[in-house]
Amino acid sequence: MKFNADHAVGILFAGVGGIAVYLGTDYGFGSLSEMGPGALPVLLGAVLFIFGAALLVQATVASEGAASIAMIPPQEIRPFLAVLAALLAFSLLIERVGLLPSVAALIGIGWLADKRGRLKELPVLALFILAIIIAIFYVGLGIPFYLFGWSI
Amino acid sequence: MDFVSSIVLGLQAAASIDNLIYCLLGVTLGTAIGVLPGVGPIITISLLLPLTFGLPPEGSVILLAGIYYGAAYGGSTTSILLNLPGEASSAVTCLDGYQMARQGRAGSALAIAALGSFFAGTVGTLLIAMAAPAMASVAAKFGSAEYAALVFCALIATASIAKGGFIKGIGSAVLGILLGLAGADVASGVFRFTFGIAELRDGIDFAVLAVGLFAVSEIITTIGSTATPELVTSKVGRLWPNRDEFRQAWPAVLRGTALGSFLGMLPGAGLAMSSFSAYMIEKSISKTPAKFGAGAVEGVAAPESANNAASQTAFIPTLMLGVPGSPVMALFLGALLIQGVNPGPSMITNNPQLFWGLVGSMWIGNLMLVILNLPLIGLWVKLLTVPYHWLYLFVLAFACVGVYSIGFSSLQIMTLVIFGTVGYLLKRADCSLAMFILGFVLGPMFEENFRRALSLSRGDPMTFINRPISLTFVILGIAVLLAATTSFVRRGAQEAAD
Repeated sequence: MKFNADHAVGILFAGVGGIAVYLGTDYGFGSLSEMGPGALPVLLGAVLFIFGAALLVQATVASEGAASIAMIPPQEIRPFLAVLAALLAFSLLIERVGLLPSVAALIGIGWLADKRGRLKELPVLALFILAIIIAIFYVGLGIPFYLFGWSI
Repeated sequence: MDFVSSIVLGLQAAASIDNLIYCLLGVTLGTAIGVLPGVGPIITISLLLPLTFGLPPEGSVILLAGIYYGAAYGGSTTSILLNLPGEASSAVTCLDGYQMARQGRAGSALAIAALGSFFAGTVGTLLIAMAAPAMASVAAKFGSAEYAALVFCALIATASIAKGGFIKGIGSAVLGILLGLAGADVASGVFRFTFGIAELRDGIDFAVLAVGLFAVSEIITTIGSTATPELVTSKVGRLWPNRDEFRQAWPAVLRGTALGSFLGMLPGAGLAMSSFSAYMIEKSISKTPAKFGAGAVEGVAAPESANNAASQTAFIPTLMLGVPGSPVMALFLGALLIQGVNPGPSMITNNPQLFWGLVGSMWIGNLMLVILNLPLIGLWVKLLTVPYHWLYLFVLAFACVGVYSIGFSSLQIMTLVIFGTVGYLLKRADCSLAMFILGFVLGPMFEENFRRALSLSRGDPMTFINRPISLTFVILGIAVLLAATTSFVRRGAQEAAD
């Protein structure tokens, strides 16, 4: 048996389903005529658990002898990491240094995602995007961002 | 209120200066994203969701609707000129549209696509105006049991044609429903799935979820997959079909419009399916099927009319029942809820200005699209020269700043990171993100009606079967469920036997 994407999904469904049933019984199922907050989580969790188990069985049967499928294609690892790192950097910076430096950091890190980007284009591109963002959000919509610093 | 005065009210509301601007902005953006590969209506609407918080309800629905049907319109341009579908719904237009362009008939093909779409859009808008009140009066008779059964049936029907297969589709929908339940339970006040995190008590923010699932994951996969497109622009030529082409086009436009109008109302069918089936029908009833693929006029007219008609009629179930049939409609529904507008049969009476204004704006928007698409065609083709590795940085920055502006909380961006990761992994595992978002939007409605139906019947589950409308939905749902699961089991057995 080779592990493939369907196994992962089956485990996810069965796992989330199981957790939902467990937490649902905690919240209280109530009765059919007066359902508690846990009723839907228990019912849907059970359904999800069954679907997850079915998928696992089917994937195991189907993958007999088949090559395991890589879930993430190698050419997407770089964009995956760079895009998430860019978002993370933005969330860490925005309340410390203000909007403009945070967006600049976002663009700088995000730029690494695509290897076709050329370094000499980056400054002009970054300035251009910053200008549009300011024009739309700050000037156009009047959202009171701190452009620099958090509490100047 | 009679039909004519409703239409007049709608056109008046839509023709106010503000709403005209929202409409123009929407259809222009829609055309632009329809042309650009890698940026579609789902991403664009999710990106704009945070911004619609500040707009008036009418303005925001007119804007978002314009983006949606504008994209169905604009996608044809690049299919015809460059053999490059901007949207999946226009992929089939490539087959004959691009061939026409290579024969020097690009202008005719564009005009047929635009005029066919305009005709279909007009019919679709009229259908909304006529069918919506009728459907509303039926829907007004729906009780909780009917609504719960309807959601059950709609989710199963959509899952049966979801990407990745039925089991993963319905599973994704259930995941979405469970996520939608997070936060305080309306009936009891118990906090569910909050894991002690205070910010989760109000539930998951719809706009953040949409941006994370769709925009972030789409950026990652598009960067990984795009080959730089080759630009082979053909000459546009004469911008008017000749008499022969007209004669061939109009019956195809009528058939495409009829088919698209019907399919648009069904859950899960969507634009791509309507344009594809319209093409197949034209090909099979044609006396000269060999012409298809070699520049048949019908092969452009029918699918373009069908996808535009479907993009209009998809609003009927969304607005009148509150049950969207596609992810874009789910986003649209989310935008309405953000605005505090409850879709459903009472929408026409409670918000006539909004409902008829939207209908009026659709017709005006379709008219604007003909003007935007035909004489300005060169401008849109220029847009294609913007490389994706510039575009995604803008999309990313826009997404981030937009999401942050909702609550000025960096925690929202963390949530975005989580949903971006989840969305990407689900997509790579071939789970339908569309089903996930449908489940999320429909979950709370399902729970409320399910619980109320059972409490009204004092716990008797027969309530879903004793009522004819509800019974119909339940039977439909179970029939699709059985058909889908037997094929799943058979496939498993076959693979085991091999």
